[in-house]
Amino acid sequence: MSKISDSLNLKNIVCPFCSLHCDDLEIDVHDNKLYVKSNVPKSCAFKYEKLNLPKFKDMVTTVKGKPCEPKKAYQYSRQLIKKSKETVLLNSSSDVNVTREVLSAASKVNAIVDHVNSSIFLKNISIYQRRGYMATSLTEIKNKSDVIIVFSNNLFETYPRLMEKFLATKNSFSVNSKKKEIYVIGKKVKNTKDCNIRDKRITYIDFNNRNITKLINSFISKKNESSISNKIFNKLLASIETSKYLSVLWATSEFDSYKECDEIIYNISAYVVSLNKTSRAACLSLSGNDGDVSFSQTLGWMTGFPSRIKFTGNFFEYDRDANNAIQLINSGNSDLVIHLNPISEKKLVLNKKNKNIVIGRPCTKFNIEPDVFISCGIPGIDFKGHIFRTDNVVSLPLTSLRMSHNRSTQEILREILK
Amino acid sequence: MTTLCLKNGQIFDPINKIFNKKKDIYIKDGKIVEKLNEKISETINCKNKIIMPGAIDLHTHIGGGKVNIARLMLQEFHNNSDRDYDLTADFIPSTLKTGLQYIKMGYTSCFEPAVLPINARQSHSEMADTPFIDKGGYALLGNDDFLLDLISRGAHQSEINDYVAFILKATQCIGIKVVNPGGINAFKFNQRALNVDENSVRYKITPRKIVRLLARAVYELGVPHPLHVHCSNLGVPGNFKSTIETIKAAEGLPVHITHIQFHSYGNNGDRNFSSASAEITDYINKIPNLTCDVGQVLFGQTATMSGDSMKQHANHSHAHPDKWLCMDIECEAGCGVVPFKYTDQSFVNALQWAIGLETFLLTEDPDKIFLTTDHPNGAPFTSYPHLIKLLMDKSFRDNLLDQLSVDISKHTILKDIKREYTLSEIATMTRSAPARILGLRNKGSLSKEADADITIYDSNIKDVEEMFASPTHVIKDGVVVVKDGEIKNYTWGKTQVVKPEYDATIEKKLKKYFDKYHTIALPNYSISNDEMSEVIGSDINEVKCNRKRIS
Amino acid sequence: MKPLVFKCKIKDKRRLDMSWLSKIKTSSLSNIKNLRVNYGSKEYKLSTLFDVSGNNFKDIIISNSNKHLDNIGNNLEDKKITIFGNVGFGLAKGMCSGEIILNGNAGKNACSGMKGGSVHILGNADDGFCSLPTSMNEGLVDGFIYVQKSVGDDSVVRMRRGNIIIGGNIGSGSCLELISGSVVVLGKIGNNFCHNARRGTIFTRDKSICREYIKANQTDLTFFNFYKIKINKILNKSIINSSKPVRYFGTKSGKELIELFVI
Repeated sequence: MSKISDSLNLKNIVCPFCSLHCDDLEIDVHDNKLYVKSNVPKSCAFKYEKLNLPKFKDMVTTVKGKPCEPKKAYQYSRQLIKKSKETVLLNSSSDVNVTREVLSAASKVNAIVDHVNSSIFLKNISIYQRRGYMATSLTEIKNKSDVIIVFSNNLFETYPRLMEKFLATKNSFSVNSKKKEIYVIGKKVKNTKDCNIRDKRITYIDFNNRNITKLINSFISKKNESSISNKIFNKLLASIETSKYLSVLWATSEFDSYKECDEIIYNISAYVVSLNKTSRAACLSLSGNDGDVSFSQTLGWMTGFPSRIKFTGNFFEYDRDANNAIQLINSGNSDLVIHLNPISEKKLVLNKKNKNIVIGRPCTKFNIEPDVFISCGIPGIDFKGHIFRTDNVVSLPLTSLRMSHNRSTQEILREILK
Repeated sequence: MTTLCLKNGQIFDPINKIFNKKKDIYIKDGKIVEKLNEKISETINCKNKIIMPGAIDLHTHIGGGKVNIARLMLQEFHNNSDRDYDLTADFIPSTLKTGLQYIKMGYTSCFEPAVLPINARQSHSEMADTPFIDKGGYALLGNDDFLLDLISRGAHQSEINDYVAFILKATQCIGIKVVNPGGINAFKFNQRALNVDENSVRYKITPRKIVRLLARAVYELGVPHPLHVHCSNLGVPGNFKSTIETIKAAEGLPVHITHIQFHSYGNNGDRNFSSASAEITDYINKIPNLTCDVGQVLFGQTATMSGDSMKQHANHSHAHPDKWLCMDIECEAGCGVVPFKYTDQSFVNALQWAIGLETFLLTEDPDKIFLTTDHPNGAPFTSYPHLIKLLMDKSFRDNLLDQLSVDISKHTILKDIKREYTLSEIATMTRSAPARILGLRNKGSLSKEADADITIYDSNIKDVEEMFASPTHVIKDGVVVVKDGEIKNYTWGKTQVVKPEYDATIEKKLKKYFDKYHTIALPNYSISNDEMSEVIGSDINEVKCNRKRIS
Repeated sequence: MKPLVFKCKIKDKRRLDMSWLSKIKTSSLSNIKNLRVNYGSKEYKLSTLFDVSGNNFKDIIISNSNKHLDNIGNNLEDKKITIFGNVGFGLAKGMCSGEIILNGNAGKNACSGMKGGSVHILGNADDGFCSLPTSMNEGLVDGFIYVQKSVGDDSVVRMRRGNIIIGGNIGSGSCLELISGSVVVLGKIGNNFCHNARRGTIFTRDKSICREYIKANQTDLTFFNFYKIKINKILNKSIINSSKPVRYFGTKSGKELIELFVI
């Protein structure tokens, strides 16, 4: 950790905020303030620079909305936990080490552990729980893939650097990167100031992604039954057929609101698997913007299940319906929810029906006032850690960049469960 | 300061050539000492007990991405009835259950054989969450584009040595493993098979060359564990020829051939599938520098997981239940997870079972062959006691052979083999031999200064399987962790690593490659010692390397 | 012998996992009363949650049940359970044999992954009835299920064998990837029915779905007559009463070999 007066230039910093976890950031630390030096989209840099405000460094603890001593907040949390008859630990963004601590905390108080994005990543996992799956990872796509298809409606908003850093890259090891063909299928892309979306290699296809199944069936039968014009369809089909290594990317979170979600992802993966009889093709499902990959992997090796665990005495049970935290909260089945959102606050929703303890990054905004709020340090900014990238295999180290008065989530959890 | 005395036990200490001798053992501060001058805090009466060093499993998939994929994929086997540990299935246990089951069987050190360099953080995190045992990993090389490019451009051996040493340091591993040399990479360019002397389409390199260069690199760097080789053509009938060719490729340098059972198939007979264990063991017996582990198949449901995505994809139609996953990973290697059920109604599975046992029994020197089931590819590690009984008891073995649903008696010479393993030989193959081959001087031994990892069995139990399944005491680093099958103390083992020296210019070259082609930066690729202890959560223990040079 | 009666005393809203019920072995009543059950984050003695009486451990009655009791009849073997009141998630999940009678409504994912036995639901069943259980590939392996009222959306996924009789309506996206078995729907059928199905037999009164199927030989009614008698006999009432159904076989797109009887 640096001293406050130090002025440091840090390179190759891993960004914890989106699931691509770009690690080429160059950050200057002056006077304990962070300045992003590398050329990244403004929205990415802003995530860092926002934290320079002093209120992001000071530890804040409130009880029922009123600031108080940390000791009092811990004390009150302990009381709430002691009184609670059904506790839920709801994770909405964290790294591996926080998840480890969450599990050990849950085993102490017999709590239910869930993640806000469970329903999405359980769908991704269910592909290979039920049939075959060919997967790939980002470096592989960058260097080997000659044809890339991305099904997405708002690619540049959710993953600002995906195209520039991983898909439409300058260099590729095994293919001619100038001859790469990239198709982005989905809603018409709006021009953003942040990222350059114009590239000769990219073809944008305006398409309603609800009908992906139809499109896939058209690929199989080689007859265009989709709403895409014949000219573009034929070009797309020809690219698929001549490709040496086809990659298909999609974000399940975008399809989650569709009723056809399962069908869409099963169909894409089944098509890709069938292509592998003669040629090479693989899928990558983009997910994990809220640390879900780290969460599901850690739960995987510690319990064998990806999410929705309930501890009871010495062991635990998995039930995808009964331990669905969102449902439990909405129907008032639980009386205490401990929210954990050390990295981002996007997915945090509190409910009046139960008591809420929030252990989150400083300056978290709430829809209703929580009973207890304890601010914690951010892994990757204030604390060391380790987090998984969207492709499930690459895990990157998070470093501590500055001094902060906040304690780590692990410490706070240990403290309130003493 | 804790001191411990084991009184009147029968000692099996193969390194010091002590077999079945009565001797007292003294332990002080986690080490074995000759004599204790101070007060002894605990004495264990070991009359009628067998004392051995803690067992070592040198090839068991206990951590890493593919194990975790299997855990999530095969949730239906996580049953609700066994509440001794947790719910996870025996063949894909959680990290906690892995540690508990290993220590209860008297195993104190285990090694994960396929640590993908890019996935090393996950592998180490999983192993760090495994209690009791000491662990380590072998880094996977031989299919990464950087190395293959280096070789195809005719790089000098010293450059390859530097790269191998860098990988060992960066991934905190204890050895190097090569899986289907060049084959996984070739699969990414749509090649579906690669023989030992076949050129890969993209890099025009043969697996023979890769094995030779890597075996030499590992030898010259002085890494104690020889190159860990998973040969080409896994599971293909007639593959014993590629296995022998791969052994020859090392040109006399030490190599370790892993799960050799899966690589000892002939293609004779009316079913085009036969045992070639005689040819293979002939080689093992002849060549001094060669060691192997077996990868015994036992009947039941399991999951096969391997870095060999080429062969796993070819075998996906045999998946039971019908689901599988293959993955290409980060221009380094791949992985394939295919659940599989070995049944004794299948001719092939039954013969695989016999081939494994033949390999065990025909290999003369127990210092050269190790007891593994390639957990979980052949069977879960919890079946080791059963396997030991198969080796030690001919009548038990013959009975099982007769009871198989399919008659393979004409295809195997198992009945003609009279050999029964002795306790001393079992002690050698599970204790001293793996410790020697891994360069762990303080393990697998009861000499003074050795780590006090000790297993005590009850010799009153006549059934060998039962005896090996339930040691009365297990001591890890001088602490009694298991007593009469109950966990007494929780301890956390260390990660064993090697750190050979290398010329740092290779890092400059790598940095160029990473900046241009990779998606992460080189500094984030390496795991530092601090990260291991602070973030991942496991302390390291460095094993010494002695640099050698082939003139 | 009197049936073992569990009278539910619970009033608050926490969910209770009832899978211990299937595991009760023959033991004394006091043993059962002293059974430790996890409820919420605490452990309770069973007698604090239920009034227990009776001595026939194979015949269980749950009275005063509510929608927070989950997993009743989970992996049930060889027992009869009668329930008065509603139940929560996962009724008869993975059930192997025995009988369940529910005088009320069932929650989500009832009968998912059932392998045998019979279930009679007098009320409705919620979404995901006979859906795929975690990481398994078949929603219904075998068994006999009679739902007197309606079932929800996304019901009956990958049914392998067995019989399902639904007295009311079936929701949308149902009978996905039907492999085999028979489904009788007396009410209305939701959208996207029998998508990607392979084989199987459907009995329905809802003519709206016939458009996509090919009208077939009308005299081949051996199976229909056999099935009609069988079902009516099992349920002891006239469920299928038409004598001249219209028979359809296969879809117009040509992939699916479903047999459809409009009754």
